[in-house]
Amino acid sequence: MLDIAFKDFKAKKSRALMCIIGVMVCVLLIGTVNNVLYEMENGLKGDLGTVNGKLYFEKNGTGFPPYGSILNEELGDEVLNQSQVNREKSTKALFSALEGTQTDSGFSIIIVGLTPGKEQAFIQNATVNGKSSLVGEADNAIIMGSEAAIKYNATVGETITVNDNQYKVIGIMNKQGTGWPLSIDYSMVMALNKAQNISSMPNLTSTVIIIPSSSYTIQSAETSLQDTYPKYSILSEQDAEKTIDKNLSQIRIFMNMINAFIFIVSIVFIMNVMMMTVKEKTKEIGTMRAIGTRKRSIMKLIIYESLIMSVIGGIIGIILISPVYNLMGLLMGYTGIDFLSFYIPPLVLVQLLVIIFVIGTFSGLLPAYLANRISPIEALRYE
Amino acid sequence: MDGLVKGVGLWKTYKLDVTEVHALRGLDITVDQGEFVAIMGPSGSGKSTLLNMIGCLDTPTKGELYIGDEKTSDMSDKELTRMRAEEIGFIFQTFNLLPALSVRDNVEFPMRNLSGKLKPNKTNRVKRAEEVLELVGLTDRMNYLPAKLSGGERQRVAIARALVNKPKFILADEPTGNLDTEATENIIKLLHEVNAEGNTVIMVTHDKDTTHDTRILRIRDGVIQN
Repeated sequence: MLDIAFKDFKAKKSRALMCIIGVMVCVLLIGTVNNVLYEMENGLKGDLGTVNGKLYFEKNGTGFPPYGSILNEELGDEVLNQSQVNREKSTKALFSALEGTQTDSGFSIIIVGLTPGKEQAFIQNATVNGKSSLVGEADNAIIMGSEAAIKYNATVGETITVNDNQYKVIGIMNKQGTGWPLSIDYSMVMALNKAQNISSMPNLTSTVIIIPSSSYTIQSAETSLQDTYPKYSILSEQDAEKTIDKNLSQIRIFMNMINAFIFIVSIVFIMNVMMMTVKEKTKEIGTMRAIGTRKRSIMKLIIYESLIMSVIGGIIGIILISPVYNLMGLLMGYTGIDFLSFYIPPLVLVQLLVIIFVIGTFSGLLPAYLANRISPIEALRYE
Repeated sequence: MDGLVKGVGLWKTYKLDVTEVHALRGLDITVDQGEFVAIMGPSGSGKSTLLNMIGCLDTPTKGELYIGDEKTSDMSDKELTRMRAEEIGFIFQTFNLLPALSVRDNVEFPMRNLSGKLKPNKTNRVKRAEEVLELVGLTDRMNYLPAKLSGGERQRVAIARALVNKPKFILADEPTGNLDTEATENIIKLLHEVNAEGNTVIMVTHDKDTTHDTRILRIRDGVIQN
């Protein structure tokens, strides 16, 4: 019956084209939405790497990056002197979004001020072109994240001007991960006092980045510090993950609602076209039934036809996802997009294949059921 | 059981709200193997109802109908479908070919409806379809779509389709109703040739000219009169 369904499909080109376009648009939209969601998750989860192996001491209720947290330096010094804290590697830090510095992708440049010599507490495993330490450098020395460097077209050794302030670029970090840029990629790491001056926050910090002392694990240091400072938050990788998951769950619900809507509209659309097909084919179905075609075979014929259209539309949709996604990136201002690259996360691909199969099958079911209810006697009289 | 098709006391009653309409009223019919029978009668006489019953598309309200040794009057829908596939070849007034399929595919199609050992494989199905098309003189039209054929040619394809499963009998419902005189003569000639090869033909017709050399059964008010 599959070959008959295929010949039927070829014979009704305009109707088939309508269905194919319907499924293609559905797969394209769902695929793009899921791709965005996937990249967003990847990006946000990637930020966890910035928190990995350390703790952020901050004002209660603040997430990451801890813009909203304000601590005075005395408290920071007190925390650094706790036995749970490796004082040599930990540092007070000030995080501040630099006004008027939005990149093309909509994110602002983040000032990260910390004690020179303790840059590793923040930049950790990042590969730096140039110098990775502010020690012995000028007061205005900075280490830039990859996106920040692109924004100001900065190269190592040159001096750039940002909001009327001049900075000497001593190092540029390579981009972190393969997905969307992370917070670290938008950062400008500088000496704490310089960051305090620019942000007009003298003697204030946002957080203390804590590397636990050798006698503590991350968990035990977190518990112990939390007991000591019950009114403050000790943000660990797990906490950051929870915050990210909480934020993502709402986005996921919204995105899935969009997906469900597109999915249902698509099924109804194809079902409608298939119903028209069954109506058009009433006499043919009657003839088939009269010459001994079983009801099951008629059902297969209708479902196969619906599946063929769904698969063709779905495959075209899948092929178009990557170019459309790249085009979206281009419109959003990303540079360096390779239009010849084709990438769909395997999980998204599996989701789409399931969707194609479900659309093809379900949208054919009701028309197939109706086709089976056609009486051959009535159908043979049908004109 | 005598006769290839034997109907005894066939009644068909339709209910229209509270009124009962009797399309057949205790009709008896016997058609023997190898016969060419023409069923004639005015509109509303019960011809179509009888045809539907003999064609296993419908069952009688009362009475018994046998095709060969099988009692079809009590059969389920599934069994009737099998009977139609294996035992009956249909020819329709409006040809009823499947428009998306080529002539060869149309003729091959009924063989897909056979099941088990009766169902030939793809190669044998195509071979058999080509044999039957040769019989009806359409070898050169095998790859055509029905829309490209004349009415007479389409009916020849329908005859080939009816013959392809080697049915017990062929049921033709006004096979020349949509054809011109020349095509009518050719189709009737072809049906006689098919009959001469041992196939039983039951034909419903309005046209007296098509009934030469056939046994005519006249039906009126739901019973056979001769």
